[in-house]
Amino acid sequence: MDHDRARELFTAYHDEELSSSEVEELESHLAACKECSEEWDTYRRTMEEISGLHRFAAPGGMTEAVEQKIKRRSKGRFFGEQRSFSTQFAIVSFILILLFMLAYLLMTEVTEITVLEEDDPITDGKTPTAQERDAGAR
Amino acid sequence: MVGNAEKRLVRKLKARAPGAFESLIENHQSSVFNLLYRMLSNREEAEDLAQEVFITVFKQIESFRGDSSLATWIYRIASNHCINRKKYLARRRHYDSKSFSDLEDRVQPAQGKSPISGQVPRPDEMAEGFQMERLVQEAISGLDEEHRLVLVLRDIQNLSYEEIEKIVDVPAGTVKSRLHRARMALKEKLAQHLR
Repeated sequence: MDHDRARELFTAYHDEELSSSEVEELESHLAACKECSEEWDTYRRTMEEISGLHRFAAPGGMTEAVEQKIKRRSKGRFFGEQRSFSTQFAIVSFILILLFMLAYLLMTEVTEITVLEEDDPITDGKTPTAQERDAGAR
Repeated sequence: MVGNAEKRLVRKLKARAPGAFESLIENHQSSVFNLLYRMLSNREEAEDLAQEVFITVFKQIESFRGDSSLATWIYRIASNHCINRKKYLARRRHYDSKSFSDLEDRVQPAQGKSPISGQVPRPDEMAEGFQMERLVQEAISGLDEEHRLVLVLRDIQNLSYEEIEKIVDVPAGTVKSRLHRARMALKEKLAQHLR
């Protein structure tokens, strides 16, 4: 095995993807070749440094930030104010009560107008007598 | 490809069920952010882009067919966003690696080279560790785009070759040759600091 071939196998060797015969061949080359052995040592230590890199925690508030952006871009279609069932029930009830009150007030108004019209002496349907006309003239 | 729990989550996501999207972000935000941070070497850009990745997931969940895992699909969206953002930043000549200097304030001590309980490193050892981490990140930043992506997915995110093939959309042989070239290039860059 030459140096180039040995170094081509470093990644597969590190990831344990070589056949047993390839492993044997590479290891015997590394044992005999100081240059490739040093190269392998540097490769191995590089891999240790990479695998030892820290994992970072995701920044706090990611969910809220994403939802706010979606809400803004969708013009409130998604992640807008969510009303609970009890809140929705209260709103519907309030509107119904208002409608009933309005209807009641309207009906009361109509009744009062009708009563007034019925009490009006001029429009009670009777024709005034001659005496009543004279009294009105005097 | 997709487990039952994931199928249920996808169904809920497609139905816009309350809590489903929050659950998805909770499960994947760390891996997405880490991928983007290692690719961009800039915390603010990585954070902003991670949000865009999840917005795309929200918009495109209807098109997810379950041919791969949800994680692989999200990684693919993140990789595409990353490539586009790099192009955009290159056009604007805005990109730099300045924010890696705040590494000391930002590391999550629960993973990676975190101190084992009872074996707290001395300040000089810690400083040396951060210095080395900075050098490694700078070396990664210096790799070609396609080499860097494969290296980050394989050696930092610990994905399988099969998953990387689906994310990058290239054959297994190409993934392996890119990874080998990336590792060898990194070895050359770091050799003087490792001897």
